[in-house]
Amino acid sequence: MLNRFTRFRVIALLCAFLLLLGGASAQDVITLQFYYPVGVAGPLAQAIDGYVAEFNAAHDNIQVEPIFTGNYVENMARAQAGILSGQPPDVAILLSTDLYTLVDMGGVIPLDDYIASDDGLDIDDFFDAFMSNSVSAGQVWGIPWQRSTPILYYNKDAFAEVGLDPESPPATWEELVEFGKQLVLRDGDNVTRWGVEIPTSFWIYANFAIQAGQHIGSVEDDPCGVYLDTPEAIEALAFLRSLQVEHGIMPDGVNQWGVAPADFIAGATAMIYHSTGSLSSLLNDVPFELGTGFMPGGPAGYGANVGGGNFYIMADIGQERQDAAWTFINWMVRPEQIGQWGIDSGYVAPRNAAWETDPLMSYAAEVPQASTARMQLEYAVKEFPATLAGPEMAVITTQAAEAVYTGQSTPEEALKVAQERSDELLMQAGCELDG
Amino acid sequence: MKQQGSSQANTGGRVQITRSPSYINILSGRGSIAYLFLLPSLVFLALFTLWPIVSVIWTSFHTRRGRNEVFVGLQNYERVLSDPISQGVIKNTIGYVTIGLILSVIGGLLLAILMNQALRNIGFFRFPFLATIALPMVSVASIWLFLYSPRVGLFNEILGGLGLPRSNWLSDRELALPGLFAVYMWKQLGYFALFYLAALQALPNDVLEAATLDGTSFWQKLRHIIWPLVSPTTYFVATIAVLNSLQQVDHIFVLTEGGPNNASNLSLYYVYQQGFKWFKTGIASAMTVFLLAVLLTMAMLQFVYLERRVHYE
Repeated sequence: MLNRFTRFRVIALLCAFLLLLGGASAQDVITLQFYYPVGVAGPLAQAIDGYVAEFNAAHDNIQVEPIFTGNYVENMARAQAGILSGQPPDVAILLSTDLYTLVDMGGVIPLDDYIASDDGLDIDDFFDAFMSNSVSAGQVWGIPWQRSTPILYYNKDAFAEVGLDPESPPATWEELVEFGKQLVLRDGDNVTRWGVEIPTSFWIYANFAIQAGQHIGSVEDDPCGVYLDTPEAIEALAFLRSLQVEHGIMPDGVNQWGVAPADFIAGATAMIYHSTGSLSSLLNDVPFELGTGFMPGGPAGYGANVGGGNFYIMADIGQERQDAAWTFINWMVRPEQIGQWGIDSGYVAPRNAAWETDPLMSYAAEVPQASTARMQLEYAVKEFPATLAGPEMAVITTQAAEAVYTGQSTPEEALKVAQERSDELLMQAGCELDG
Repeated sequence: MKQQGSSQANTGGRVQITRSPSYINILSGRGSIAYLFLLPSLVFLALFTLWPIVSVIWTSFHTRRGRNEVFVGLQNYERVLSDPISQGVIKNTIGYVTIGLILSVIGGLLLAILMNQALRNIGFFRFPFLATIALPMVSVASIWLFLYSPRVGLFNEILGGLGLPRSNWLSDRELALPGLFAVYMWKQLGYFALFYLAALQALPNDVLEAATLDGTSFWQKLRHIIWPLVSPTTYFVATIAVLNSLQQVDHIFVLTEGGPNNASNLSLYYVYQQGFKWFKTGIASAMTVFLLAVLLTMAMLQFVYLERRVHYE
């Protein structure tokens, strides 16, 4: 606090000095509004405010005002309201999957000219899977920042206890079932430890569909691609349901996103699927040896979809502010800076150079779990639902999974309904669909 | 004695007004000073109540395409009425409000009668029921989230300890909405009881004593004396109960987000989802207009009914 205040005084003095000098050198200071959400556990807002303060101290003519706007949904709602009312923020971290909605509203600008400029960025250094959600119509619209994939977390102590090798997590769906059965602990009729707990969420379900051989969203640049009623998508959801009913290794009913880590920490489940963004807090909180692994592969092998937020620069704020926003973004994604962010948060630093630069290089050597998600990127594709009406599409898909997990519908029925609803939604949003 | 005092004060007030119209007339023409005094409230009423109503009705006839609002007639209303999800939401809301109304009145009155016993240290028993009123809904819901938690939660620990099957409370289609309702009632019942407690303490003791001397049972007293005498409070509680159950939305955010598969989605949360999560302002406005119509009708009915039927002393 004192530190920041001192810095503020230094800046103030510096500004005053420049004003005294007068003339052209004392340019107007540009103040940028920067909206950002926090999507995972941990004191991330503090980290971001800290980076911004450093940026402000290093720049005389640009001051960034960080504005924490809640979770992703609230953050997007505020940015959208700003765009529609003609008072957008200048720069914002929004979901990579919001790209089409933002472009459709004319709310953001393409960044190719900045990337190619003197103050440019080596965009090829960023991982392909993350860029797939950042490019549309041949143009780059977002710069990856807080990006993630789900991974498998497992309790090494529990593995050792039942005679499994703590160093080899399940690699296939079959092994997931087999290991899960060994890990379940019962006390009479009650299960005291489950084999695995997989949160009921479109974002986790999407990985199973990819592993079964068909992404439920488009892997191409297509704002209208949703494939929920395909045989592979149905197979994936049926497999998930079988973990609850047939194999009895996963808690029945809907498993909430926030409950899974709590159960895992408490030893009520031996494995969970969760965002790599939860790594830092799990490393701190689990009272046992924490193992991480790829999500087990299905009939089509390993597969994952990515997630998380990108930096966007807003339209309608004028060239001068957009230039300043680019300076800010380019400063934030420097290899050492974004590597530090990866350590602070658990997100996958989205560019190669960050992993070859300290502090992340030495951290990854010390904490091997930090590299799991990056290695899994080899099998990762574009995030679902990178379509128009993305937020509602996500909920429709989660609701289909909920209907199956609560025994309300079969996977076929639930996904057929979901496909119909998403088709209707896409047509309202301006897509032309066959049939 | 008290009543006499207050009626004197009333007469005094009236006399004052009739005596000093000249005082007002000095400042302005007839009555216009009154409007001047009303102006601040009128401005705020127009700005924050009337204008939003007009605006929400306008929006309900439009839909957004990119950045533009396009007129679509009654399409949003048709969608709200024909969409199975919004139908489910309306059904949930009607059930929630109806059961809430019945339990608030009956539960509130019975709880108040219990709290009105002439016991030593009755305050000790009253406190826990009234304390919940002061808690913010978000904190209450967060506490209940732990109670409901499927594996480490208190309810399941108790069930497990008794050898009964555990339940996945908020993830069960049948239990999610009752689960929300329980939280709401737990928090609000004391509030309704408070009004009844005040009404009970103002009841004329002589009537009740006379009834006791005549050998009436508790139920007879409740049915023929207490219930009619607290009827103004009952109408008040009923109104507040309906409004409260339509307005409380915080616990849905914390506990279920309307899930699983919309099983616990209620009208106000639906409006939030449509309007602020997905920017379907047209649909959200149409639902809001429905809500508004229901509330206004209810207010009118109650007003008329209240005028005629309620027994005031």
